[in-house]
Amino acid sequence: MSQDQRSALVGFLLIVPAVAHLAYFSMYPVLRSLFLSFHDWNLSGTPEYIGLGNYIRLFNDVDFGRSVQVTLTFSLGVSATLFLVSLTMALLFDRRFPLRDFFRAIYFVPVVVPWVVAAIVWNLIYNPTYGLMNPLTDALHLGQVLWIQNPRLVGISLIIVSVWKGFGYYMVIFLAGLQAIPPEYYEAAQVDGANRRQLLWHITLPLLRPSMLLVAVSAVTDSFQIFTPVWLMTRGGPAGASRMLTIFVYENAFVYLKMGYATAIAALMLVTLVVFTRLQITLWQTDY
Amino acid sequence: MPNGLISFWQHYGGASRPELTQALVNEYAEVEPELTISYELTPIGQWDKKLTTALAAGSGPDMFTAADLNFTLFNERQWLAPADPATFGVADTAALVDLFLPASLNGLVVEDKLYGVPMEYNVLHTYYRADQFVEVGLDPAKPPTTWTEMGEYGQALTVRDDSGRMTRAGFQWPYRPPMSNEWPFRQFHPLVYQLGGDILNEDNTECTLNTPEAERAAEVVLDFIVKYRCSELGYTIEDKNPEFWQERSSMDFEGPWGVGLGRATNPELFEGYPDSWWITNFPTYGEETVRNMSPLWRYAYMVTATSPNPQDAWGFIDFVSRQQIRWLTEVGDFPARKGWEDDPIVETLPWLAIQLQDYPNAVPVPQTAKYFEIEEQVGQALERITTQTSGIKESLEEATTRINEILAS
Repeated sequence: MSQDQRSALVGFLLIVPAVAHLAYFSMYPVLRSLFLSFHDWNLSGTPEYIGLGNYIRLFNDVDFGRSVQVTLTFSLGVSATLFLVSLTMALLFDRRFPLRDFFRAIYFVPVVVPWVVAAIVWNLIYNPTYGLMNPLTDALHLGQVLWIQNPRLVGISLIIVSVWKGFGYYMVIFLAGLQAIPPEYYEAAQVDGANRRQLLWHITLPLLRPSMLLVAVSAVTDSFQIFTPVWLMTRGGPAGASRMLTIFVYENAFVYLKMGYATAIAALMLVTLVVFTRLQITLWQTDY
Repeated sequence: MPNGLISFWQHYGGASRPELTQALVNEYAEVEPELTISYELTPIGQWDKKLTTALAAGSGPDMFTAADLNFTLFNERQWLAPADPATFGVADTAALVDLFLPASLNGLVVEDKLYGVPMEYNVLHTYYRADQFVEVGLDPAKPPTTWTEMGEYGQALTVRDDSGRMTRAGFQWPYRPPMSNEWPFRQFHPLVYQLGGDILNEDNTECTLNTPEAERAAEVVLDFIVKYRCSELGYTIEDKNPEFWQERSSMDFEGPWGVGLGRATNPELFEGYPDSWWITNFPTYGEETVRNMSPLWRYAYMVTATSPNPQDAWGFIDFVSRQQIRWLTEVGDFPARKGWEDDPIVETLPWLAIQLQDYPNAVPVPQTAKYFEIEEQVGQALERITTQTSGIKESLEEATTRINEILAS
C-alpha cells in the first residue's frame, strides 16, 4: 500500500464514525419517514402500503388546509418582523455609544433562554388577569386583552414571542455582515459628498445583501418548524387558530396514532424546506 | 410464588394518590418479598402520549393506570391482558365482576373478559365555598341545583378589581389551555345529554351535535362568560380544580377526589366544612331535564399483553383494590370494589351521602377508538363559541361535518 493509499484509508476511517452517525440518526429517520408516508400505520403492527393514499387525503383535509394557512401566515409575519427588527437593531449597534456591548449582550439573552422557559414566562406576561401587559393595555385604554385566548390575536401574540426570542441571533448575523464592509468604501463615498442616507442606501444595504438572504431564509425555515412555544402556550388553539403544521403532525402521529398520515405531512414540510434551503444555497453562490 | 420485577406506570394528579400507592407498594413487598414493583410517575399532561406511544412500540410497563377514554383503542389494538379470576380468588369472570359495584366496570368487560379494574371511579359533583355564599348573601344550605342557578350564583360570587378584572371566579368553566380538551368535553357532554341529545348516536357512527339540544347546551356555556360573567377565558393559570382550593373560584365541578385534593392542598379550608366549603349534586336543567347525568370517567389498572408477569401484576391490583377504606379516607377516591359500604367509617365522611346520589346518573363519554379526534373537534367548536368568532349553530354544524368525516374515515 502506497503512502497516498494509506493516507486515504486513514482519512476514510476517521470519517466513518461521523458518516455512520449521520446516516443512522439523520438520513435513516428521513428515509424511514418517507417510506411510512406511503403506508397506513398506527405505530403497532406492520405498515400497510397504500400508495399515494395519505397524500391524496391531505388535499381533501380541511384541518390540514387550515394548518397550512396558519403556518404560512405565522411564518411570513415572524420572518418579516424579525428581518426588520434585527436589521434595525444591528444598524444601531454598529455605532459606538456608551454601554454598547452591555446592551448587545442583553438583547442576546433571549436567544439562550430555553423555549420552555420563554413560553412559561410569556404565558404569565399574557395572562389577562395578572399579566405584565395589563398596565400597558390599561394605559392605552384597550381594556382586558385576551392575547392568546382570542383567535384573532393569538397569531400576533406568538409572533411577538418569536421575534423577542430570535432577533438577537439575527442581529448578530447582520452585525457580522456590517463589520465585514470595508471602511474605505464609506470614506471614499464621504469624500464624494455622500450623506448618511446615501451611505446606507448605496453602500451598507447592497453589501449586506448576503446577510439579508441568510436571515430571510433562516427565519422562514425556523418559523416554519416552530413547535414548543405554540404547544406550551396554546396547544394549537383557540379554535385551531395557532394549529401549526408541526402541531398537526404531532397530534396525528402521537395522539391519533396515524403515523403514516403524519409522515406524509412531514414529507410535504420537508419538500418545502428543501426548496428554501436550495434557494439559500443558490443565492449565496450568486456573485454580487 | 411471584418472583421478579413488575414495572408500574401512573399519572401524577396530586400528592395523596401516589403517596398511598407507594405505601401499598412497600406493604406488598412484605406480602410478596420475591416480587419487586418499580413505581414510576409521569405528569398528567404528558401521560396519555407517553403511555400510548410506549404501548404501541411494545415498550410499555407491565401494568399502568389509564383513563377509560383510551380503553376502546387499547383493546382494539390488543395491547391489554385480561384479568385471571383466580388471582382475585373467584372462579369466573361473572364472579369477578360481582366483586365490584354495579356499572363500575361498564365497558371494561369484553367477550367475557375483564381488562381493567377502576382505581378512580368518578362522577362530578359541585363543590362550593359556603363561607363565600354567606359573604354575598346567599344561603349555603340552598346551593345551586340548575344550570341557570350556577350562572346566577356564580355572578353573585364573582369578584373584580377596580380595573374590572376578575380576581375571584364565581364558577370557572374549563378552557384550553391550560386545561386539556378532555375537561370542556367532559362538562359539555352532560349539558347536551340532560336535554335528551348526545355527542354521537347510539352506535357511535354519526355525530348528533347539529341539534337544538346541543345548541341550547352551548348557550349555557356561553352564558357563563357573557351573561353571568362568572367565568373567563385565560383566568385559570394551571388547573381549575386546585384553584378552587387555592381560593381563586367559589364553585367548581370535581370528582370525589376533590375531597382528597382539598385535604392535601388547603387543610385549613378543608377542616372548616361544612361552613367553609361544602358539596352538592351535579346540576341539571330542573324541570326541563329529560334524563339526569353526571359525567363518568375512570382511571383503571390495566396489564399489558406483552408483560411476562401478568398474573403477578393482577395479584398486586387485587391487593390495592382491597384497600377500599384507605382509598376513601386518605385519597378520597370512590372505591369500585364492594365491601366498604357498611363500614362504620363511612358515617364519618358526611359528603359521601351526597356524592353517592350522583353515581346512579353516571354516563361515560362515547366509547370509540376515535375519541381523541372527536374531542378535538368538539373542543374547537366550543372555542369558536366561547371566543364568539363564530355563531353557535355554525360552530356545531362545522363540528358535526368534521366528526362525521372522521367517523367515516
